[in-house]
Amino acid sequence: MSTHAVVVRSAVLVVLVAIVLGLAGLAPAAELLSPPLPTGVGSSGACHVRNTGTTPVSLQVSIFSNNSPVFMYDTCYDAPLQPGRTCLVVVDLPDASYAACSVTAGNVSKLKATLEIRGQYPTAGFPAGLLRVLVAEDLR
Amino acid sequence: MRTLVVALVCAALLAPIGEARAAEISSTPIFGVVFQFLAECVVLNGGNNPVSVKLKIVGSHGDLLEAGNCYGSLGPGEFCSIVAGWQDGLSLGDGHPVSCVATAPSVANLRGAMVMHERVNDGMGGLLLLPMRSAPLR
Repeated sequence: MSTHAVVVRSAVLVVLVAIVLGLAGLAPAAELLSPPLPTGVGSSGACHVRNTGTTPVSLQVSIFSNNSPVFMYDTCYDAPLQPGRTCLVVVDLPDASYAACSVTAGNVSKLKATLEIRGQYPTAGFPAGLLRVLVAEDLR
Repeated sequence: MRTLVVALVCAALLAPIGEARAAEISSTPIFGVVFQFLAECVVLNGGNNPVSVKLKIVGSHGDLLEAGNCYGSLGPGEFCSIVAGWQDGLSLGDGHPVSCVATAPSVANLRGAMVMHERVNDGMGGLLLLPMRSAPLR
């Protein structure tokens, strides 16, 4: 093999490796993130995560805000989420702020999740103290 | 062989350029009929680096209702919003749908939503703004 051929083959190899590494860099991170939503007044946030795959998934779910939310409960933390099951994280949200939900796992390709903002609707006929979903957005 | 090398080199060089190009995400138009009082467009930088973001809320005729630039830079994990509201005795957007557009060098880690608020009585003689519907920016 000539020196020229060796040089060309090496160049091709280097470029191929660069392309493969570049594509790997474009691979989706193991995180789902919701759009941010305004919290209004006296609202809570709920993040539902469903495992649509066939194997259990260990995951971490976080609802965060530009002001501190108050943790209420988390059914996603205790054990891996089984196939077909849904877990839930709920927090009390600070007034006049923004909130978002993130889900982190080794593989999020089979996870579907939604962030809900829940609040009271203080109009006649709506039972006092009950919360309803005001707005909701999917994580992606 | 040389052609192949040139093609591969070009592909490797052009790929990052494509990523760095300014990009845009926008919402579908949302409408709250006569109850729509205030529209809020909010974005979140979910990445690890600051990003410069421009936001605008536009009406159904393409008319600019509000614009902002998040003070020049939006840090990792930071939120930013603009609002367009009730004016001149007419409901927001003159009773038409409104949309939000966000522009940034890269929108891969940017999340956003357009939210329509209604104004309701709080039951204690005051008024309260409640989000009534939303649409993601994509």
